[in-house]
Amino acid sequence: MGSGKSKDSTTSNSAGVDFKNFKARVAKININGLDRTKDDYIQRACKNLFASKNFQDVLLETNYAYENLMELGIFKNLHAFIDTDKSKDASHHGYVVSFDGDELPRITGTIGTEIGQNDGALTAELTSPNIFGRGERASIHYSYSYIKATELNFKFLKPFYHKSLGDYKPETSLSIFRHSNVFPWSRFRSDHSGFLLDLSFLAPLSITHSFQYEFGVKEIYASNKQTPFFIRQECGPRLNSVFRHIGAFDSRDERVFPTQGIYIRTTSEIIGDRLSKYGAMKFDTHGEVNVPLFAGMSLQLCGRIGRIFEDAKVMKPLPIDSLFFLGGPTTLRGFELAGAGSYQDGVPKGSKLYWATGLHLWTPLPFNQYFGSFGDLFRTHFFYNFGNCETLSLDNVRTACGVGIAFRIGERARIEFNYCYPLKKQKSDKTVKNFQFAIGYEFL
Amino acid sequence: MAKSTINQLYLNMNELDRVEMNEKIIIYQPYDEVQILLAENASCLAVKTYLKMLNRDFTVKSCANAEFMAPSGKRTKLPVVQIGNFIAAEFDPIINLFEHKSMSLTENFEAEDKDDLVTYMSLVDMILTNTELYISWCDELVLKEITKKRNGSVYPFPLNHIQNSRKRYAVIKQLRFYDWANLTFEEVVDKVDKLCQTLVAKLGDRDYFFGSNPTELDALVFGHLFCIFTMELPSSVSLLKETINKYSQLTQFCGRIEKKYFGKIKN
Repeated sequence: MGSGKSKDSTTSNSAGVDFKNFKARVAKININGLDRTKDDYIQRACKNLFASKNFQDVLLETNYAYENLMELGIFKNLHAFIDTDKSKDASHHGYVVSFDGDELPRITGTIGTEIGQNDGALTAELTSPNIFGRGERASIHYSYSYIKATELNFKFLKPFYHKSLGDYKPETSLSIFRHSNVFPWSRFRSDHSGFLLDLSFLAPLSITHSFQYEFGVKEIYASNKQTPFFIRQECGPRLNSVFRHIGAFDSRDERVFPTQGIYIRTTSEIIGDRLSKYGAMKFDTHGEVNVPLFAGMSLQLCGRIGRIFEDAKVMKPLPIDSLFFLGGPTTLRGFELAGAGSYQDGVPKGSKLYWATGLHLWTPLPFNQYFGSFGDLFRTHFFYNFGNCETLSLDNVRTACGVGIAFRIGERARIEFNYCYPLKKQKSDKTVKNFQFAIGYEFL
Repeated sequence: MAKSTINQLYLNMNELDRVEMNEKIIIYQPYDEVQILLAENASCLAVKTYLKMLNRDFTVKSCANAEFMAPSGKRTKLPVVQIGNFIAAEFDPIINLFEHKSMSLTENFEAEDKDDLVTYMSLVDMILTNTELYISWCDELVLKEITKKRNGSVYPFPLNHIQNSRKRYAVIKQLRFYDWANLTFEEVVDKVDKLCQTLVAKLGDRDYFFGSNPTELDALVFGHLFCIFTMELPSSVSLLKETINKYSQLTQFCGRIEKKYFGKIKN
């Protein structure tokens, strides 16, 4: 917010009249339809309007103010009107900008489906927006899914858009969560409950930071009688205290089928098994570069690397549910979920270091122009991905290539249907030689 | 493909039989000194006695999360016994495993005796395990002074409190299932008293419950009674010890087994 400086005021309107030539100043801003929202919470949102010098500015700034107001999370719908100032002492180029909106009701609810990493979920959410009049929001979220089993979240969020720090979009939230992750490939389940404090803000260079502290109990359960003994030995409750930083930079033109831009996200964690002892660090980074080519094609290079450092003197080694598993239709295609990596007693045992890279050539569907906008939902890609566990070198590297078709679902998720051909694998790896199906929102 | 599947199946079946009983036996149990609770200790001792009666060597490994490793069991889920790749937990499943291997102590029993054995065993297991759980988790003083400290000892703050209340909830749920949750201490002692009478009647003048050779029942009764005798309990629940001590046949029985199989343990 507040970043609304008139950047592209050089563009003139289509009718050939340059609005920049009309002097204008905003004399008054009306915001109607607010009931429980405090005045100071919305004032900052339209501040820049008063700085407009000409009518072009007024139009642009009204637009920014509209976006800012919507971002506050208090309006259900909002309309903006620009009119000349009709009051007695009005100057002849004075304007009045009015926003007419409806506040969100006290309680809103949604029921829907959600798509996760190779997982589908049924979700229900109950939200009470704008509780105390300054954008505070409490929500209860419940989801039931195929792999992650159940998830229950209570979240209280407090934005600080109205303070002088508002330009950095600071938000704090407290979540109480309970969720369960299933690792069918290694025959165990991990339940995780606790609370999470989060402070996120937008730093210069448009990098989003969030600092989190998570405290909870993690418990591993053997899921059946075939669960190997080395996993059983890690069963039982375990305290989990984590300081986490997530940094993200996204300059892509689009999330699902980007054609240009860079996306980087890093997660760093300091993990402890009691409040006073922290003996492990975990890093995980995802990066992606998109380069547009000719004829609607684009080249995508992406990579991931994760590493865990531990100090055995301070605490016991991290349990298997904190380790990395490589392979799967959304990461290293051509391998089964967790199918690339070392095995013990017939199940993947996880690793403390992995890396994986993918090279994609994205093209529109052949004869795309005949499909109209429906064709834009699809893309084909040729991919070559490779990765490795436990070493950063290319020794024993796993590689696979293939071709596939991808389908967009909404603004975030996509479905992929790929024909994979694993080129190089290790003896114990489990590969998928033919078709592989993937659904998710973050792909390699 | 098909051939390899069949081979695999064949191997799996073989593997079950290959759980050769002469492989090393490892018993996993909570830490003796600081962590283990009355009922858990009793179950572990019963299994150890049983193995001694079978004349099998075993190694005991202490680990904090033993009960969470268990693949079977409904009560204490302890001890966890590992024989090669095979794992079983709690007295009953462990015995079943050995019986499956025709290594039981009661192989040549008549069907009638076998029924008797099963009845007595489930009676003893039910009443004594419930008593031990009741004492540990429902008696306020024991709960505060002993159980909570021991059970929470292996977890850092605040997980120890969380685990204590979780386990208490689970135990009370178990007791409620047997209609034991709302009993008074006197009623519990009364039930134990009646059980002792039954056991004394069964034992008679013999060395063991079924004659001159030990059975699973002997191991189970010894495991429970010996633990109740030796566990340090506050005076508010000493009535339990006194009640059992009234039956000299039972104390002698315990002494006999202790001397024969655990020469080293001092009472």
